[in-house]
Amino acid sequence: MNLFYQAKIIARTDLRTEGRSGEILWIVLPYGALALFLIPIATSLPAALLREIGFGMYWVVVLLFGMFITLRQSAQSTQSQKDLFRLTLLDPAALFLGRSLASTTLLVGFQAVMAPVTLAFFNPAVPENWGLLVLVGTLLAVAMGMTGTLVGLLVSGTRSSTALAPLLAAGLAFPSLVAASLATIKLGTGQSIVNPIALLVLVVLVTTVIGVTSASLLED
Amino acid sequence: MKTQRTLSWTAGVAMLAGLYFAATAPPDVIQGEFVRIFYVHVSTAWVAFAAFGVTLVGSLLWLITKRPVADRTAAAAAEIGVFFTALAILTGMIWGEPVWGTPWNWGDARLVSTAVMFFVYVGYLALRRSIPDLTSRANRSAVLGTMAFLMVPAVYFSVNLWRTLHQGPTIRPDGVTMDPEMLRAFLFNLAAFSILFAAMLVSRVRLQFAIEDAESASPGRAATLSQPDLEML
Repeated sequence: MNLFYQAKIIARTDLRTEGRSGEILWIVLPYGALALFLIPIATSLPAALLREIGFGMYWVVVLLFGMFITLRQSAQSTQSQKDLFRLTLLDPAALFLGRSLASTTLLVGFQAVMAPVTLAFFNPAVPENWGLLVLVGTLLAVAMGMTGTLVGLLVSGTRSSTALAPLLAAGLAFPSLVAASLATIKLGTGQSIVNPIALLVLVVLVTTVIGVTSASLLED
Repeated sequence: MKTQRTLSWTAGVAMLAGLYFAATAPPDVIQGEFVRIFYVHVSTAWVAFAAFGVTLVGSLLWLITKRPVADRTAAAAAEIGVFFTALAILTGMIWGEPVWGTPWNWGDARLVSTAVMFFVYVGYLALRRSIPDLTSRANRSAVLGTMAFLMVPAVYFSVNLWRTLHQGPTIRPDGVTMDPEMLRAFLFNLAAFSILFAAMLVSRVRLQFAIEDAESASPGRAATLSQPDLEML
């Protein structure tokens, strides 16, 4: 079995497990939407200002709640599962790629649900070529999916992993957040978004190389 | 041991000389006496970047050679880097108060990204502390140490991508826009802080090995030593 076929099987299995547990659908999604409601209440900002910061709030919620998605229960392997993976000669790089693919799919879904919520309650000015925003969102999902999966492997089985993982994942996702936020601002003012897109692609490439080459090292 | 002592003394003398040059350099036309913090602020930021560079090199060397000294050097450099990043942020805030009119500005890309870099490397140190097994700790830290270095160019080039209040580089390929006396003070402080970094690094790596030796010689020793302190509490 080649690497990509193994990765596809892992992704499909992860998504099925997630579908059964419903962690994202019944916990993370409502929690993210609730956060979008709480921010205006806590800040008491006027409607005009909320409209201006709408997309910014959206990206922050995607980043912070995206961490819950990439570090979800169904993406963690127990010791017996790890042993089983070894016995079936599963390539650790395929596990990394498969988990990343599953996380990316879930993150795209999360963004797709949060976008209309943000549009309905914050009413931000949508740029004319909003299709490019979809591309930015998808690239952000890939970058976050890979970063989160790598962090999950790094902290797996360590003391205080539940507290440590979000700290690392949110920090490492910072360049991706800046790129997404910049792209939105630039699209709103009719400027080119080549630089933010290039930054997102760079993050994806670097994370892929590090994840694939170090996956076997992080297997223990 | 001799290298460590020589480096420590050299660092001490160089720091005193750097302080002298910083205090006697002419004041800035616009910023006046406040410019003196520049000599410390830029030097601490430089050491932080250099330290994280050493963490990257140490991490890569561990991944290739598996020599313990590479991992311990990476860890020691990260500790020093975190300390100097905190200093750079603090001195930047002290400088920002009179010059920008505020110690913290969310509109400054370098300030905000430096703070995030600080937290990423705090996470690196926290990861090390949470893994008792030496080999597993070294493996995972090396991967994170490599990935975390992405933050360094992100901080450096953030001013080109994002909005900023930070001034551009003073030393450029097309020339230096600084008074020669100020340049001398600046370069001297840069060198002094670099020697200090080298001294701290050597010292911390040696200490790390000494702690490991003590722990392997007597695993329960640390707990026994701290018992009276615990009882006092």
